[in-house]
Amino acid sequence: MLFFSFFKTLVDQEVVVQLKNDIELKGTLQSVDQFLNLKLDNISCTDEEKYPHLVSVRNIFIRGSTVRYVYLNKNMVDTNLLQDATRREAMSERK
Amino acid sequence: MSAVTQETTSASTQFLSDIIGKPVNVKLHSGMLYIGTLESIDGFMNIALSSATEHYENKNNGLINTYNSDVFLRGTQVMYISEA
Amino acid sequence: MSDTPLDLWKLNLDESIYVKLRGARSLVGTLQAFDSHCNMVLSDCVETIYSLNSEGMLQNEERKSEMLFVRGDSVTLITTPDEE
Repeated sequence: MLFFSFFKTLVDQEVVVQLKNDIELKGTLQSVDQFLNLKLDNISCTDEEKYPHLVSVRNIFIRGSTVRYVYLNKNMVDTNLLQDATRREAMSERK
Repeated sequence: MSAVTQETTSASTQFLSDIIGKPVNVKLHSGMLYIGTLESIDGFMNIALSSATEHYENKNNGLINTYNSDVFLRGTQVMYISEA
Repeated sequence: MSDTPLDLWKLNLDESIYVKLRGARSLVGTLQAFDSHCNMVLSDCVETIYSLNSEGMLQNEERKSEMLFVRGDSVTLITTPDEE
């Protein structure tokens, strides 16, 4: 649940998502669910020459399992909060 | 059926707890082979090794890397673990 | 019950880690968050992509990012970066 909560804090921010097939999309994070499926708005493809079929895409739903990376900016993330949340999650997951 | 499941579970659990602290080979789906001392292992086959060496497919294919600190191997990537 | 492989690297929060990924990629960065799927967030991260060029020579491409979320299913190995 940690990363679901984390992505919820990133809603309305601009992120770059790199998929496992190397396609890279920049867009505003619209919503996220528990599988880390992502909805992006105002898409721009970071490499339009390589992936021309995505030029006209404005809005996209990305299946979470196809994501490799999400590039973020430092100022979007409170690292202290994130580390604390990680420690709490690690404690609660112990069975 | 449940008795059989019970038995296989305990047999594999037994094996895994028996080899803790021993030198082991761990092969991943990628073909990478890691040889090191088994520090710990969990039910997902997540593995921690100390003083691990990295090889491709076979120890005789040469050494790729030596890790001085503990190495974590992700369970889903593990093909097998055996006592070295 | 504190000695499972996953417990090992909560000690590495806020410290530099080395992550090997599928597809001949590796990352070095400061660990900010992780979960049991090996999803993680790394800050001040350097990604290295290894590939062969047209002459069959090994080359690597580096890419820096200030904050990176990595989906756990690409992860194969985690350790601390003492090599190089």
